[in-house]
Amino acid sequence: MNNTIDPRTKLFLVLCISTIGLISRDVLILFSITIVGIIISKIFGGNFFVLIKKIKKLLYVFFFIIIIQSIFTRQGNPVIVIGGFEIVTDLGLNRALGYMFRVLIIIISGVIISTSSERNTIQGIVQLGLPYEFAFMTAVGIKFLPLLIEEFKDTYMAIQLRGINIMKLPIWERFKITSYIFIPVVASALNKAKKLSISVESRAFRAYDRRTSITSLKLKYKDYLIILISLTTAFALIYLKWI
Amino acid sequence: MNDILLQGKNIYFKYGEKDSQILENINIDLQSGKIIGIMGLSGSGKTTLIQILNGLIPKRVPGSYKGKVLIKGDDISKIEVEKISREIGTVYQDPDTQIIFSCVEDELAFGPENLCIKKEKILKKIEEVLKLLNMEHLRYRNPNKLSGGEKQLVVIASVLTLDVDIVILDESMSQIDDKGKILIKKGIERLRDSGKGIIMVEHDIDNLSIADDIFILQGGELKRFEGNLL
Amino acid sequence: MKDFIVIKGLDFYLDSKAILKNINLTIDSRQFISIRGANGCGKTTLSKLIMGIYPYRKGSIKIEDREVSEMSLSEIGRKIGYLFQNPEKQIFTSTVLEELSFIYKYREDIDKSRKEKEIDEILDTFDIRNLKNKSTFFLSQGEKQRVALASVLLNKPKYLILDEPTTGLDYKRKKMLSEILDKYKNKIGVLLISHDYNFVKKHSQKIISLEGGCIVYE
Repeated sequence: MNNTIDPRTKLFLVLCISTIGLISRDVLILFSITIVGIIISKIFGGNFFVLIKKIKKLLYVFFFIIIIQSIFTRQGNPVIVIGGFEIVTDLGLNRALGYMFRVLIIIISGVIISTSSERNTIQGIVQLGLPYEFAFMTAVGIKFLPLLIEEFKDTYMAIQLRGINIMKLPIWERFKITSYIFIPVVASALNKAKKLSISVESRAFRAYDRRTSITSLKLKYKDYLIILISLTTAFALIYLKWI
Repeated sequence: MNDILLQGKNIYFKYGEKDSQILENINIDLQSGKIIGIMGLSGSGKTTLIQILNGLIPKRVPGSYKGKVLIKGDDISKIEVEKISREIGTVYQDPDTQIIFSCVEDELAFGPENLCIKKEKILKKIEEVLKLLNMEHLRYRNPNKLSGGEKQLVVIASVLTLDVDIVILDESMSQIDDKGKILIKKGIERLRDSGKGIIMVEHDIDNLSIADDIFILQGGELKRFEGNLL
Repeated sequence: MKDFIVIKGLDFYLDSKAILKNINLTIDSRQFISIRGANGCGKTTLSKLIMGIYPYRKGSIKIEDREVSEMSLSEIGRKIGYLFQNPEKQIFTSTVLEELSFIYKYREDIDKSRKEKEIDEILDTFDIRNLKNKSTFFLSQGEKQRVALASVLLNKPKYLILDEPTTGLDYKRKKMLSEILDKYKNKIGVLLISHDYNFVKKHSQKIISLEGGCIVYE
């Protein structure tokens, strides 16, 4: 299924999913969109759960921030009360869940887009009328993102391999030591970007305003069907004010 | 007598006015059907020399530069950097920072697409290059999943589809194992036999065993290598 | 000499592909062993399994009689110093001196009173005194490698694993690395991963080849 769906269709799907994710206030709708998104990404051959496993440490930090945010939301009816103090309200919980589902929707959108080859994704964006350079840079960015994540992990490991048990350090030292990861990762990213730019320039990138392509995409009936269903569902949700 | 494809004449270079001279009075001639090997220690100026020969210096990399580089008799300073890529293909050390796509065919098509070459001609060129380097079986493979030697061959192929006559290899074998080196060397020999001019820059003399002439870059000067490392 | 690293019946799969099959290997604490093999044959994977970087399900890897899977990365790092193939991954601070001082700041088990003396000695051993205040961003590949290795050795590990340390080094820098390894030869065991046969042959007491995921002795 993955190879036969046009990348423009996937971009459109992602646009619908992320638009609903952005404007919806209803946690149940956001939850449903998340589940639908996971199913769609699975049908297209994406590895949502594998990706979640790889970035789970980053997600813990993010969700920790969301929980702290919900604790500081004072409006609404109390849900968790400890010793007479309102810790979490229903509105705070609602917001926290909302943010969490929106983050997951962003990740799912990335997974759906990544099920097409970067060449086809670039071609799809170009055939939608956007400049090639924009499409190319986006695709290259997506390609290098997992490599950067690997670099973060490697460097975190390298710190521990110096015999430093990060979990046993006081919390402020832990934050400080984690900041050391950024130096090698940023250095590596800058280095890679420089080498890549020299390499593509050596291969005539941006030599002319136009360029040709050996790839050409054509929408099939499957694509039109998916676009129609996505559009109808999105409009229905908005029209029926379920969002 | 083979055609002279690339000439460097009386090249001097340093990065800043107060810095020491990196290159002094470099003269180099590359003929078609020949391989020139250039050897030198880290920091001797090998990459700087490559960047002068492929036009990156002084157009993209600033510095104090004197001298002339001629491509088939034309002054390189009068040709735009992007258009120099029709004449000179440069292959760098790390294939992972040169490979962009997840299909070898797409990788090979990238350069000629940038030059607005028609689809049919590009596909024909891809077939020719794959045949030349004995890589037809890799056409639809994911280059990121190939061995180091195969990856480097993909990068060499991707500059050849630009129809260049001059290929410069900047330490392209330093991360490659023995088996991969044999593969790459065979590929380079095929290029030479087809009339291309090749400059190979390495710091390991074993990697230059296929070169017709070897030079050593030392103290900013380029000297013919007579067989003794200092 | 005693058994320092003992590997028994180790299998490792990645994306359902067998990378290592039934690896059995015993390494003595002072032994200099090299592992050779083509790109992608599993040399680095084996070293990362020993270091606990990759988890393993089938087989056993023990360091000083303790199963690696039951040890934390920091515990393993205190016993074995690891030099990554790309030394950039293990340089965290902005100057060379800060880099060498790193462990003295964060490890409670290290004698901080010896910091100045030990750093002083290592600056000379690795010929990096002139780089002391230099930014790590502007180090060359050879310099980064020396700084990374110096930092690892300040840990006083009992064993060293070096992953492709000669990559990108010219003959002069290889000679320098060779001299450094000679200095440490009888003090610390080394597992060298390299496809540089001359370098491997010069230093190793035993050379192991990996082919098709299996060990072939030379």
